[in-house]
Amino acid sequence: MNECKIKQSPWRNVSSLFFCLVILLFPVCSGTAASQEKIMIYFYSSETNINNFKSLKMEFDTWLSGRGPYEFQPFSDRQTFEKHIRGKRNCLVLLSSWHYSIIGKEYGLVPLLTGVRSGKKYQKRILVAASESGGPDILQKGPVASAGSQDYTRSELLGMFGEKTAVDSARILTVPKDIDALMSVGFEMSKSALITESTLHNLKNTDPVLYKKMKTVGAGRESLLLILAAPRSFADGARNLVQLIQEMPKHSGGADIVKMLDLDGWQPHDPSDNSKLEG
Amino acid sequence: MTIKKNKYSALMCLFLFFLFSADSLPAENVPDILLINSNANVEKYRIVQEEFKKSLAMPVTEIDLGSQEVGEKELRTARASLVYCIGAKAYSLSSRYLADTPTVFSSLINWQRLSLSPKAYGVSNELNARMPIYMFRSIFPEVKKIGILYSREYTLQWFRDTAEQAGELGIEIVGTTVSGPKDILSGVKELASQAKALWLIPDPMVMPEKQYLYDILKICQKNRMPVFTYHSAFVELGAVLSVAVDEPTIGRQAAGIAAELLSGKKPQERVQFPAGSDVTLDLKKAEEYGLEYNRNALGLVNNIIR
Repeated sequence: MNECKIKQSPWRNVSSLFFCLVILLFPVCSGTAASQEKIMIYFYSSETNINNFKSLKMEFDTWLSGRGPYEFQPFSDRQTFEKHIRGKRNCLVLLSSWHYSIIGKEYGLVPLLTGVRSGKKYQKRILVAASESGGPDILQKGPVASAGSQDYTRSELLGMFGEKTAVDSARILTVPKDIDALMSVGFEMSKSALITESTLHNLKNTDPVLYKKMKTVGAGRESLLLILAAPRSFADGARNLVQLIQEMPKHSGGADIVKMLDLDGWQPHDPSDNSKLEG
Repeated sequence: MTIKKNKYSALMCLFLFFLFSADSLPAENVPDILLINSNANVEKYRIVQEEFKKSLAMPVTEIDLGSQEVGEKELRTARASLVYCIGAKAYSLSSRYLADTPTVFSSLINWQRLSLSPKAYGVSNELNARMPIYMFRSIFPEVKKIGILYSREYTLQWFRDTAEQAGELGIEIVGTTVSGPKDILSGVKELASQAKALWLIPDPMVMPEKQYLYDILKICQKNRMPVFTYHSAFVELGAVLSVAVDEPTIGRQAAGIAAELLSGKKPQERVQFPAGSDVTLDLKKAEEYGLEYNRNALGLVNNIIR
């Protein structure tokens, strides 16, 4: 019996040891599993009607796949986007600076990177028309073409002209891209177009004849380009992914993705710009 | 007492009369919009229909000719103050029985062949040629000579206008006319020796059957000549770039025209060009042909294929 006992005890000890190890290591293992959970990058832009979601997702996910457990998730609708990100902790959020200024505080976000285009982190929206008549009267003459959401477009127009009645009654034609808005003025589908200054600059280089017909009849204030933000509690945890995104333009595949967002690159958010992100 | 009761009842009746008549007033003011879809099972028609309804935000009576037989009686019963027709079948039916009703149409291939009723307005199915030219120029700035196969019967005027517009953007257009199937493949070969790319246009003489499309693409592949076209499906078959119409924008434009007509205004143009574009680019194919693409223009592209 004793022998037996002696023989059995090592097994008992081994199984006990194994049990203890399982108990002790469980939190570590589960912690590792949790750290392997995908970190999502949620994207919605109110300023441009970017509708290349399928390509953007595919390009982002392919580029990110070899670099960590990351996934890109674009949204075409503001409400769905806001509902989805509410309460999410381990994620990054890519959104327009206008949108950030509305929800940043409420959603506890902190800005980490700012988009850069042609060396600038700011952009200005302008209203262009084929006629020179300026002022809010232009809004009543026919549709205003815009690649931005209705809310964003009206907010920009209100900032330009300050006349709520005229802006509220303006008819907005939502188009996929800034260039569509611009062309729609050229072909008389709309009376004016809300675009960025850089779109007009591109038109000047590519189609100087059409460019000559365009007149700037209103200008908004400068605003920051796309903002990459994170929930305050995750700002430190997101460091690796944020660095990856910031370095995207250095890699050929990554550079193309940044261009698809109509940017050239990123730079760390400058706290002196915080006032520009306040609603 | 009886008199008092009667007075009370009369007052109540008067109150109820005003209450209900006040309620019914807005209902009378709501216009009856009849939407006729040639076939709601066709995706692009369905997209246009949904976007029209979303943009107009008014009650709409819908008829799907793909699933129901509709005649004069059903159309007249709707007593529509405006009709929106999606596709040729819908427009043909509406113009036969409801020619006096203000009408908006879209998704008609070659609307110019139809005689439009005086109250018909619409959105054409083809982009203004300047839009694809702008995209070609922006995405492939090195391609400055583009070949087009066209017919005198369908696209002669379009070709002349397009060549003029392209010239303004620094692109030379070279053309070869097609007068029958025998000219198609020889025309492509001729263009391959002159142009840097082929722009395939929706001319029924150029592509009378599907097989011609495959043969054209095959010849271009053999000659390493990139093909630019007007439909994204062609990119899957071997074209490098397509600049197509954005269907949701058509629905929104049609809703805008409808709103204008319902408010008693007369739209400036009888038929508008589509205001939205949808660009598909096959980067793999572009690299295969050694075509340099402009990275800064990738923001213009909706779908990238690698």
